[in-house]
Amino acid sequence: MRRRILLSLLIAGGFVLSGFAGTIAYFMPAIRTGLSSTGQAAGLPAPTAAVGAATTSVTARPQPGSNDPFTVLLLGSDNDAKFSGDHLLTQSMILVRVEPATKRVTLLSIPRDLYVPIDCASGSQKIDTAYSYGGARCAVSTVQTNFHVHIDHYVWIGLKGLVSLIDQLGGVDVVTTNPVLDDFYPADLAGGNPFAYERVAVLPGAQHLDGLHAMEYVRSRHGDLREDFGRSERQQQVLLALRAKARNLSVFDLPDIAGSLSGQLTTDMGITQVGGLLPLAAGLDLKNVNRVLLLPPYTHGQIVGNQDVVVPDWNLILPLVAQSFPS
Amino acid sequence: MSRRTLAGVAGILALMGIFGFAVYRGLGHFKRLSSSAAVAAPARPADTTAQLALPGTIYLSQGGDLFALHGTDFRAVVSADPRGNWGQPALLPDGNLLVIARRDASSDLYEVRPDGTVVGRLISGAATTLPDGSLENNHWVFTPHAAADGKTVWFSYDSPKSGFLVDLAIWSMPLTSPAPATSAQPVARPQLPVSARRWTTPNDYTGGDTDPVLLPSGALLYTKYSIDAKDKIHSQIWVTSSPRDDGHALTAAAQDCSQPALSPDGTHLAMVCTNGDQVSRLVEAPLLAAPAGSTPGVAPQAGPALGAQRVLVDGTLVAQPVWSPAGDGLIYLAPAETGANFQLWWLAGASTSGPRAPAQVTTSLGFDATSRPVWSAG
Repeated sequence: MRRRILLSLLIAGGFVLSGFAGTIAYFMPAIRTGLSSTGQAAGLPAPTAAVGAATTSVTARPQPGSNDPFTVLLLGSDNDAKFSGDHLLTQSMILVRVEPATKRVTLLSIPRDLYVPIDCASGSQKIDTAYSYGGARCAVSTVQTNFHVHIDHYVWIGLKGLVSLIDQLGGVDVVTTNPVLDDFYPADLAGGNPFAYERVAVLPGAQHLDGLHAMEYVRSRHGDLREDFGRSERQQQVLLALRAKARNLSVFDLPDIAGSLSGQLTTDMGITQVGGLLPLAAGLDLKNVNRVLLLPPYTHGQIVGNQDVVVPDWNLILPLVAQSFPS
Repeated sequence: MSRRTLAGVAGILALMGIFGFAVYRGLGHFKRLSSSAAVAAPARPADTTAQLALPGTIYLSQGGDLFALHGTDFRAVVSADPRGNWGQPALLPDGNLLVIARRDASSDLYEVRPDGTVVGRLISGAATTLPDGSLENNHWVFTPHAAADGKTVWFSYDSPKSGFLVDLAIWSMPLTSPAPATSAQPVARPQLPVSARRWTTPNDYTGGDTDPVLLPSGALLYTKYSIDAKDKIHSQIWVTSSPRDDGHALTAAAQDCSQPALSPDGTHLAMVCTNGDQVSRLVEAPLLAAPAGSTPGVAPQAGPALGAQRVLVDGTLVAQPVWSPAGDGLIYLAPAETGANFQLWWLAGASTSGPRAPAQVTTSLGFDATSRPVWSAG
């Protein structure tokens, strides 16, 4: 009798193990990407308090998934063949503050040409160079130091990663505000010459964009009077459209999404923290999203050396940041 | 161990393996059932039927192909080929269509019969690539519109342009015998016929002017884009009576209206307005011959004006309204739910005081929301 019970338990255990193996196999892409892309030990600088106290350490970082407000720096890079993998510029830098309790979100786009002191390099340069000098750590510390803002986490994504992510989500619905025409759009995602050009025409109005066309919409800047500011506004639109997609995501989508992001996304957040963001993103209301662009008078264009740069007026920016990103 | 026992163990192990594989496949199947993150691939219109029969024939674009909806049946008119992806149809008085064929770097305007026979090419935008690889001599032609007498065509075209400055302007030209219907051979500098006239001057670096619609009076409605002092981009419906005179705005900048659609009798205007949001609304207003000054933010001007505006559809992504040939309702494109493909909808009584609830005409298709449908009575 006892032998039969043992045998039954052994067989049942075998089936459980077999089912577990099937589950592991299904989620393997997500596990692999989770291990390689999330929880990156970027060695982020210690969180600091807000205005006027940039060196005051704060002991604990709020965790996404808890009810504490937290701030994430989103970084987007052109990582095509023009650039070597460890010296990428960040064409897009968006500071995101999430308040889970009130479901409020603030998006602040940092102009890539903002002329600021770079923490890990000498003197002032365009802020998009910070990542090329010292990766996420340098980009985060440069933003923290200059904006007197406390950053809890970062997410970096490459061009192909964003295209793949949007395609994996089935595209995004966007109301494009105007025709976006560009005769000198970089043809660097396909083809053999990363310095080649292509023509882009994204037509105006409500429409469904796949990854490639969404990328054209957020990346083109030559045909926009506002140049990088116009592009920043479009990036915020697509970011919010991606948020809408999070409503429909389930844990079963993770393997496909993870597979599409292989090597194209890094973050210091753990995979459980990323998973905790999904229901939060799904619950956000567009009416509770505050979008901030550092347009004039917060900034103005200037030529420094032989470079076109954007010069900040910190007297205006810092109070705005302190209000939008309270410590 | 007996042979029978060995066979039993092997069988159980095989069952365990099958069970593990079934779990793997089952999770994938469950994903398809439980998740709608990825939008379902649209069905091909010609393989489906519409839920609702509307009178006449509606021409719509999906995936680079142009389809005709007659009753509840779709048929393919012309399909994507080396000439490009076909879309943005406009109706000629004889029932033929003006259709845009778009490629990666340029687009052309063709005349197409309802049976799909391509009559010929009216405008070619294809240019040869410059030695440095630049494609800047190519041109875009979009949003064609034909005069009621079929003698003139209006369209948006990216000329003049220079370097990074590429904006669409509204042009017109007489409809003449088109060139052969073969693929356009690139030339060094494609140009419009000398008879073409530019009607509008776009605001620099805004994308320009689009959506020309001719009023019975001969005046021209169109969408103009602008950037205000706070660097906010706006779209407005403008009207002009003569070439090179931009005319005046019919809607306020803050309304962000575009895609004007004129009722067949010329008395009502439908349009899409966003108020700067990522939601588009279907708005209707009577078109008055004399200035009314009733639109807040729009100064009274000589010439046409809009009467009281009504929001007909809100809270979704409305695109490309088109009046029925009888003027008793509107079709438009919109997704049925967030993130879904754009379907065809019908709104009866759009110009009356009490429009009905919108009715979904298609459910499984995915129309190109940047391509305005056209509705023929026949």
